[in-house]
Amino acid sequence: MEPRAGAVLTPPVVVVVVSRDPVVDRFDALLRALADQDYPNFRVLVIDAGSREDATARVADVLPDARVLRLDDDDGYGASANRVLDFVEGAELYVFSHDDVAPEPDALSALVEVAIGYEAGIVGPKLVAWDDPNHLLQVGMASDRIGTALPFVEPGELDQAQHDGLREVFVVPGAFTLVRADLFERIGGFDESVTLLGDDVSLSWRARVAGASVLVTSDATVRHAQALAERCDRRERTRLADRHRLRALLMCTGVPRLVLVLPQAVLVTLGQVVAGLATGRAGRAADAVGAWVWNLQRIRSLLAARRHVASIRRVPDRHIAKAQVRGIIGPRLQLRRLGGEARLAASRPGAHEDDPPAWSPATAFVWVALVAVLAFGSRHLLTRGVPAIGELVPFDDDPGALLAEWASGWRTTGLGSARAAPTAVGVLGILTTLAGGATGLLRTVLTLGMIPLGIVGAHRLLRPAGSRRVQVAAAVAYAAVPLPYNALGAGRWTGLVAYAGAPWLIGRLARAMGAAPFTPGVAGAPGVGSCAPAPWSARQHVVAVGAATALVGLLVPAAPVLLGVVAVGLLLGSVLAADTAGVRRLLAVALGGLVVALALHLPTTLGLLQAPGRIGAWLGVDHRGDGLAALDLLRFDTGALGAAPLGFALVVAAVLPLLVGRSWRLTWSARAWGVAVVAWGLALAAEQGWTGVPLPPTDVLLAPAAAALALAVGLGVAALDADVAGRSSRFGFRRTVSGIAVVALVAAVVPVVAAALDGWWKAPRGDYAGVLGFVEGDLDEVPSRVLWLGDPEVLPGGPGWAWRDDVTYATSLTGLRGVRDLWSGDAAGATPRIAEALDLAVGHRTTRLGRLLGPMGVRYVAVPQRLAPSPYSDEVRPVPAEVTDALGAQLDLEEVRVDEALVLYRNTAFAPVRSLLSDDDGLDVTSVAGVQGVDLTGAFPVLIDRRGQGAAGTLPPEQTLYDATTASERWRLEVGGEVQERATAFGWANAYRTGGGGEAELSYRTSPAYRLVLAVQVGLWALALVVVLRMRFGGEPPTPSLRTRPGAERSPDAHGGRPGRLESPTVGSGAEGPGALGGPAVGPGGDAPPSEAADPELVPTTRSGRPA
Amino acid sequence: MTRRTPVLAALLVVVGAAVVASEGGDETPTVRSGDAQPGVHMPAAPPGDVVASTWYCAAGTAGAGGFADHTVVVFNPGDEPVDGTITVYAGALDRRTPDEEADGASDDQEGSEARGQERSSDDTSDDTSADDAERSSDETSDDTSADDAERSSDETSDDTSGDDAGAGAGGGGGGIIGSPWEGSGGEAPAPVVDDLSLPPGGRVDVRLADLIDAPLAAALVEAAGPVVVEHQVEGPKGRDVGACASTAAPEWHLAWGATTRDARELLVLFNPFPSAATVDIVLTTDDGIRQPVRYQGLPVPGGGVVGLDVGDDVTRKEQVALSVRTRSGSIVVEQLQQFDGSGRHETRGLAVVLAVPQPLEAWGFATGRLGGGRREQIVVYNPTDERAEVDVSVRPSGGDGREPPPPFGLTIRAGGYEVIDYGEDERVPRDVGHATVVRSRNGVPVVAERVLSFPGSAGDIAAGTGATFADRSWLFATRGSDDDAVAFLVAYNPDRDRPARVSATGYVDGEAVAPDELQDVEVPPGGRAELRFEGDLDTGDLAAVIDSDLPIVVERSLENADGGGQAVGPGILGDEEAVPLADVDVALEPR
Repeated sequence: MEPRAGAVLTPPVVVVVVSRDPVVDRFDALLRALADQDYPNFRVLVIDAGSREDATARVADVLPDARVLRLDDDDGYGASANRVLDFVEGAELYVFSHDDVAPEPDALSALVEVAIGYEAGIVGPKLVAWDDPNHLLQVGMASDRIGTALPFVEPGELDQAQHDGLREVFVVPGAFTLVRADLFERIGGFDESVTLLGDDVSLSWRARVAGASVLVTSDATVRHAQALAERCDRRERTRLADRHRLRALLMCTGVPRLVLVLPQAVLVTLGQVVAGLATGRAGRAADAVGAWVWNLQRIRSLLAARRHVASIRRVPDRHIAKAQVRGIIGPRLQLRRLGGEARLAASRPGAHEDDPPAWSPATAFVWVALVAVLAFGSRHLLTRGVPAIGELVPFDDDPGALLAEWASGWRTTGLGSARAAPTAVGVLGILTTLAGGATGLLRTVLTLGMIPLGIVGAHRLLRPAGSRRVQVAAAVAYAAVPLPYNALGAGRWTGLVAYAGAPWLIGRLARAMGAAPFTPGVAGAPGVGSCAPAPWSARQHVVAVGAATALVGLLVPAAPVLLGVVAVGLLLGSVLAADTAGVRRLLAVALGGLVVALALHLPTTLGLLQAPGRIGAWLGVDHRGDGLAALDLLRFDTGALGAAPLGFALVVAAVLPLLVGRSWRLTWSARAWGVAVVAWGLALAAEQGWTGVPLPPTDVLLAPAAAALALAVGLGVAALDADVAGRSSRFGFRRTVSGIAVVALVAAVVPVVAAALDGWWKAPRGDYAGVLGFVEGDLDEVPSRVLWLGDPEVLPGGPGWAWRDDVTYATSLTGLRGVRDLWSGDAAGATPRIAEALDLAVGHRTTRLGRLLGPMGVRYVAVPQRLAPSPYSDEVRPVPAEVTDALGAQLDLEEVRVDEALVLYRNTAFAPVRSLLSDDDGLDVTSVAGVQGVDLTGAFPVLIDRRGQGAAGTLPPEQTLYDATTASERWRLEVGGEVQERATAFGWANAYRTGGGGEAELSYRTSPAYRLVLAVQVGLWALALVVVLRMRFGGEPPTPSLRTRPGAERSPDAHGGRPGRLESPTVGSGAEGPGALGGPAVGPGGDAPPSEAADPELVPTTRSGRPA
Repeated sequence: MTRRTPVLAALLVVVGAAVVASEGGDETPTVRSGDAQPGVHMPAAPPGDVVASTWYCAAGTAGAGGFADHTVVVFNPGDEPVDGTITVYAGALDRRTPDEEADGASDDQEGSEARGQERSSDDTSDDTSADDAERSSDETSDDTSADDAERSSDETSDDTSGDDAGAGAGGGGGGIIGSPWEGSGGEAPAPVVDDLSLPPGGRVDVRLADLIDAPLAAALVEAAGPVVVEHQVEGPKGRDVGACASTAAPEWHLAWGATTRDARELLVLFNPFPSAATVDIVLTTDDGIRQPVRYQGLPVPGGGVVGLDVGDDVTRKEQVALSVRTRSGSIVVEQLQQFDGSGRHETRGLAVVLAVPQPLEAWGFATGRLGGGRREQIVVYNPTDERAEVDVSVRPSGGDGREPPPPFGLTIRAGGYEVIDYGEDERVPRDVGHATVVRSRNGVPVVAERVLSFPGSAGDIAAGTGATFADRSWLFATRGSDDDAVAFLVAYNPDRDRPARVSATGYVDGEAVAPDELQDVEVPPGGRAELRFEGDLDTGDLAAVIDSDLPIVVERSLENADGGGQAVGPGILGDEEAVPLADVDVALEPR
């Protein structure tokens, strides 16, 4: 490489130091180093990106001519550095400097010399270690085809001049980088979407695309402290590197080349996912995938950037590719040998070097053991399927029917009603559609998967504690809670889901409080740019909490109550601990989250607001327990697991942090116990019937208590590490109680391990589907209903509508109740007539219950006495004898013996749900009792094919179609294309004349208002999803990703930005205002070439180039 | 004090308080096991808002020459006309023998039939020889011959008619193993349905033989309004009338029955439901508890009527108590008890007794009188698994200042029974009417039955369980169709302190008549009053309603003109607020 002859040796240079709360010593060293530079024609602009302390005076002391531009916020290194385009006129070269470097006195000269002499676009120095200049850090980097920066220097490599000289590289590592001003402007400056890490790759790549050369000279030596490692852990660095590498690739590669390269990038991502999962770092796998999501979220700015890159392109991709390293495996192996991408980005050894918290062999073993126990205990459920007991309904429903149920505003359960179906019905419709034929797997995941989901939630809950031991302890404690196993054994899906959701809800609210250790990770850390997403605003917390609550609420209608329990518990704990930091924020977020959650279930919420009396039924208040006492609840003894004395072990272990904890460990343990006490209190009130207000099922209420105990146990382990270990060698009170707690935790696990032996978690090994197959067949053949009566604890499909003490009733159009029959709420439409008929029977006022139920399409009356048929369930939950006696005394109910656990009657007087009547005599009878005189036995079934909420088929002329569905004007029968007049039969059902006969369709017309509500609901879910994804992966910045000035080639989208920023820079060093930054304002002169040897001026300009 | 202290203290207080509160409040409410329900544990008129009243009349014959010709009487005590239906089910005797049962249900039809015939001939020869032997020692040959001939004729006729019917016992189409229907390979006669139309206060008598021809016939009465139903059986040996059952039940008990040489006890199991029922029968005699093989797992098909001749399995027993329990389903159980007068007590007559669905703690009998050759027995049966301590108290009427006699104290073992024959104890005054109250002292429920017999050719046996409720209204659908018989109603006021004021209204041909002399009749505390309808009201077409201002017990007494009893038993409860007799404060001890 030959220098250009006759080059001007002292072009004006502006050294741009981007800084935020720098380490004082290093910053002073930088200032002194700049002051010592031997280059004669340069100015220094310090861009202070939102420091808490003003460094103007410090700069002025060392560099009186330097200018300081104070920004209100830290928008990242690139965005801050790009401000040079607004404030500098006349510079020919820029040198972008970090605030943790110290250039040798001749460094600037050497860089300028190479830039001028070789017409280089970008020139970088040799970077050496701050503390030991004999150790090399970087001498430029190569890049592979997908943008992975590859160093030439190994970590710790001694500088023995082996890399000296001038060399062309693909990437100049950001630290002290010279860039030609015109090039910088032309390529749009730094990519402002890149807040930290990877900005150098993007800049260098675009410079090459624009035809500029990128060089590194060893004549310029710069010490580099690599402060990035002090504020970003390795995980964050890796995450940022992945995102920004992918962005650079997508931005700088033309379409033809991208077609070839993108699959390689996908392969690399898959490799990262597999490696992450294989090494137990699921987060790493998530980050790899998240890099794509992050870029997709910024698709608009990415496309704009691509257009800009296309406009500046001088070098085709094939030439660029030649400058890159070939292959993706070799370079990555080399990179791995060197310590990985992130390590190279900040290779300084330190406490944050590894992923915190680290997995130790012990913690990894415990997790493996935990997974093994769960898998072993679930083995038969996994291989033979989860029995359809209680709320664990089969997923046999047609996905289209589920979606129709959700979208129509008509519920088929009971006798039908114009009510909104729960959102879960629609979601499960979508999921079963996506699952295709794998609905069994989906069901298993949505039931059994709740246990590991809850345990992972407990594990993540204590992530801010910074110790894997703490996290694992919390996970183990949560796994030892009997709740999920008891819920599984009793078929209580709501209990399972509440268990899964409780730790996540606590975690969300804890983070919203912001009290240590749940503080935002990078707040206040020194350095420019954030290596983690910005701390969430209260509004974002509200959305997150609301979305989490709404998600839990899909399957647990009482989820808002859970949120309230957690919030009140945290409040109580804060008050007890005399630490109310974040309490106001907690309450605001909880309240806001509640509103968001309710909004996300909009149709249901509106329905409940219209009739608050339904809330009780919606919460499932009829699903009462067994009158458990306080000690039972303390042990979570809601089923087969939880017996004393081992049932108390978990509580004993959770007391530890209260006794030995200090600082935030004590505070948070008080909050955890606050949550537990509130949850226990409500559960106790529910079990003992102390309140007159509706309360959710007990195991739902207990879930927050369980999660809180797990939190307390984790805090206990944290207290062991921080407050007990190493404080004293004496075996005193602290060590004694610590020992007891550890033993208690181990003891708490024993029942779960023992329960795992049977492989079913004590759940019944069969269900009623096996004995009611013929019923399913009958109902398929002739659409009709099954009326279920029984104790809510054993009723398939969960509690139905309250009828009398300990007896609820429900209906199904299939052999077993399905997804559509869940969350039945209160009895709506004509459904209460079923209870009226039953009352007549039990009151000895009729012996023809079959006739009363016949017009309702009830073909079978099923009275389960146990959760599952014999021999799978021993616990008998009989209905009161008066009920069975009354049913047995009915002359038109024929008992069908199927199993001793199930009393089943066939209604000999039933009519199909849609039947043909030769005459309509009797249809004007309106009372339930009066129907006894009407015998519909033998009515001919028609319209057998279901279509959405309605049905279709052929009808004969001049007959009456009877539809055993709650009367509504929105039901319409079309026969031969003609709409038939509807009449109300028996005071509650629909009847139509069949007119001339022919092809007929019975349909329900959804109201426009309901459709609008659904549309709003879908929009809200989409909005929440976007917001949450943005919060998780970061949002698209409102500014364009590349900055250009007038006259430069730019994309149409490159404008915008934040004009207000220019109005408020605080300028130090004697400046009195934006117009007095050290020289006369220069007008729109962006296109004017800088004068040779002229001094650079620091001039504030508007984005359009006009002086401010 | 550190920050830790208030946290720990507050948590301890909260948790401790919750534990104490919940443990302290954990009291299980006690529930009376013997809570009785009118309509379930005793026939009762349906409430006014009833959708449909349903009555089950199980026992009776409907074939030519039947020994208990079955007539159902339906009475509408309301102010509105009522329409309804009566469905008559054909039934037959169960012909199985223990041997057949042991052979199982897999026996082919032909074998079954053959054994049935064999059994029939064997029975005839056995019975004949035994009868002959006993007859020679106990009775005059003429009377015996005549009675035996008549009885033989009755049984032969019954059996023959059953065999000849050639249909299954199950009206619903099912057949029972060894039944005459199955033996002939035919189907049971289909149930016959007839419409009923009752004006206010009207009455309809339906003789089942007019609708169906079968050895046994049961009736199901359904009406779209509150009606009450009684039935009457009549045969060569006597007649009886009593309330039909207003409910079916899975369990039934009978305290009394006899299978002596001169007696025939026919147990009738009526299953009006579509589902088959399977029953187990336990019998108690002086030999102890017996569970004959053929009475275990006995199927009663849906819509079927099955007759069991208890004497086939329990021979020559003066006292047989029994319990019928279904393994599944509900049925109605009645007993037809016939005496031919050839026995030691020369007892003759026919009784139809509705079994009781549950033992209860207190029973009341308003009617009773010793003297004139009458025998009165109280049989108390304890079908439970616990020993019962029972008092049987006699409450003479007459107001002559005599102290009531001390009660009979009984200790009845589980599954056992005790019989008190008033005639053998001097404490029961003669020639004075009395009421009887049977009450369990230790809360173990029992079944009490009273047997009245009137020796002599004109006599007739009257038997039945007592009342378990006291009520302010009592209904009688029929006086009893024998116009020559003397009929009267007896009101017993069990209240120990307050007198009751009682009024009676008679209904004939839909017309309500309230005789002045039967209005506001005072019944003293613990006392009785006889209410007699005179003149045109003293007819077999009479239905009656008795109203009282206090809960009382009312029985009907139907006696032959010469004093022989035909029927004695409580009426039908008419008020929903009937009070279990166990809850009435009855003075049982002598004052």
